[in-house]
Amino acid sequence: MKRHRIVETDREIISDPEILKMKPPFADLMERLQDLPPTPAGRRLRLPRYVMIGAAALILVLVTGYFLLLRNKGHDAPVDKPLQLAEAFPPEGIEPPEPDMLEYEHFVVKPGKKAVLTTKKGSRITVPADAFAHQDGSPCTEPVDLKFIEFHTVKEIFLSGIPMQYDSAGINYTFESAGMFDIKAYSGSRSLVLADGKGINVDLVSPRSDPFNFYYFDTIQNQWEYMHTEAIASAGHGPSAPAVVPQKADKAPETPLETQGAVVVGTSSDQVLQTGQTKHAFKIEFDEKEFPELSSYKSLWFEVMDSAFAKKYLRMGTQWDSIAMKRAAEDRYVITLYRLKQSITVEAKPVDYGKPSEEALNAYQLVEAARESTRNERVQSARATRSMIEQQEQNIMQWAYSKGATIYNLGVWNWDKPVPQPMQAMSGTGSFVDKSGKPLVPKMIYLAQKEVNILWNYKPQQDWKYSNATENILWFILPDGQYAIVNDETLKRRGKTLPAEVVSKEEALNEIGRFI
Amino acid sequence: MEPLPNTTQIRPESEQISLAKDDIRQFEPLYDKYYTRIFLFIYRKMDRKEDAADLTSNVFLKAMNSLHSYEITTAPFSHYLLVIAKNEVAEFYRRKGLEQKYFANQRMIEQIARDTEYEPSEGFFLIRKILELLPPHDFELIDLKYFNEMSVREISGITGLNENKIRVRLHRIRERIGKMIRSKVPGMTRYGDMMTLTMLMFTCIPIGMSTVQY
Repeated sequence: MKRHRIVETDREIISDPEILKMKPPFADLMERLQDLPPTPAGRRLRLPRYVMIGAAALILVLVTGYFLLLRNKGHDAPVDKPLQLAEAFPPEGIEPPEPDMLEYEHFVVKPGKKAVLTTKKGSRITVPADAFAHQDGSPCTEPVDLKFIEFHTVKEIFLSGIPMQYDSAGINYTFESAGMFDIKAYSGSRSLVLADGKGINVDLVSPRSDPFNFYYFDTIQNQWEYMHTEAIASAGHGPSAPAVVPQKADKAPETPLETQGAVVVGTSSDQVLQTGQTKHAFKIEFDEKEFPELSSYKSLWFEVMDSAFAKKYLRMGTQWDSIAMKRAAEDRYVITLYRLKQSITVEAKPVDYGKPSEEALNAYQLVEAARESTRNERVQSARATRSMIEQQEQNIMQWAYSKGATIYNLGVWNWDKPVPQPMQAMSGTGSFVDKSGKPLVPKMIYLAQKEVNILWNYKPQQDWKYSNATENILWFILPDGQYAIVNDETLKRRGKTLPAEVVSKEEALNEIGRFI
Repeated sequence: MEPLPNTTQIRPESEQISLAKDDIRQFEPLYDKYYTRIFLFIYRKMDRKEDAADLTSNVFLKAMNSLHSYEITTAPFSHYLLVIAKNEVAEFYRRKGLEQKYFANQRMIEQIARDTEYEPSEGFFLIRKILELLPPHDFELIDLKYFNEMSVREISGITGLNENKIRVRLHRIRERIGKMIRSKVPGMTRYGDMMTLTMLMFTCIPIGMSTVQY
């Protein structure tokens, strides 16, 4: 056997002060930087020569094949063979089209004890004792906030924003799903990982008993990783399955972080106010005895470090169930705001602002007034959608099977079969228009068929396909947030233009849910 | 109320990187934060401290020079620096035409021994030799996990492999090391390495000969 390297063990330890003695001043680096030629914008790809030659050859084959196939376009005969081209390009990463509509279930898992949790839909999660660790690998000894969401129907898969394309040996497939889930764990604001050697068993309810493949979504590569294939048909799962009541966070805990040194300071945020173009700050009431270091401030505001986060999650006038505050460093406070099942945590620094400027106050109030005027409408539609979701959940509880696996990573997992294209696939033709003939340009086309749990998605410049064997529905989101829906009859008419019905988000989602 | 984002953790580092992209002088806090870490990562592969210090400076220079194309993600900036460091070390040895070295301490080798379910006192020297024979892609994981004491997540960030794959591969590598120990690594005897056997031979033969009675 060939020796590849030398491994030595007798070496003196070098201390940190010694290392820092060797560290050149930053100014020296800056000087040296001036002499370096700038690297070109974008990533420089370094690959071995044989990989580059192979990639060039593959591209040549693909381009030749694409042009050959183009000659056959326009035939009306259904295409049964899987194509060799990547026609449905996946979106990059997970991008939920309507993030508001994703509702994770929350469970509290105590350290040192195994937990068996049952979701609303009847799936079961078995968490071994001491399953979680911090990002640096140290065990998590605090109670863990476990968040879980499952996706079963095409509509749920659409709302998840999780790409359903899978590349295998250069061929692009779309997943037919038997169930998908996302599982995350947090300790306060810190995301956790599974401890080495610890796995969580997930038995996901499913309507399918036939064997499926199990995949994990790698969020660094933005692609699915095949794990294994189910060896036998799924176990039955029904009303007789034991249901252990989980420790859910049904209401905000009364003293949420006291065991971690945080103090509950109040039950409402007094004001959440934008004070400038890039800064967001808010006031809260608290007992100065708990934080005497803040008593010297004349007009104390907490300025949020991440302004994008604040803009999205902190709104004026929102009522919180409770607020906990903890000093993290000399001028840093970690503030957690609790409302019903959810909480947000922000890192903020105390600043003495005096009064916010009139201009900032007026600008913010204008935005809030506009939002308030549509509030009732939004509440009504959310209620209607929620009751439909509840009905659907009841239906899912009736499903007879479950798919079980042990996972060693948190994140998105999926039971799937890769499918190359719709059954009796026909190439879509025509451009999209509304009822008045005005062109509609989609960013992403979504397509589904009756009784098939597959969500196809295509970029508009690509050939998209529908099934000639069953009924289809096609939709896409417009820039103003409305949806355009094209029905099966219109698709199969194969006209030069495809008139789409433009509807609100709520109507569209109801229609999609009803169709599938 | 809107649901939480994928992570609720505030990351000042991303803000610092954004600032440094506009004004490179803002890179200094990142340089201070990561210098020791990168130095130690490189030093474990270098004979001389001075070479390690030079390469460490090169890593930060390259990071600063290509910061405009760095994409801010949820991964720590250290992953990016460690990838550059790995490449710098490999380039160093390539230029010099030398065999790459790794420096581990006894505790690290003992940990590998324990993880392969082998008694550390028996297999210390043997494991060291086996590590020299492991294929490069397997040794890389051992180096990151045991010599640099990185978490699986960090290893994933540097190598690009997914965490599950890393765990499975580490398990297989440990199994392979265990098998190599138990099945007597080719070129090695049960009682140690060839050197020991050779020494024994050179010691025993003369003694034996001297006792032969003609």
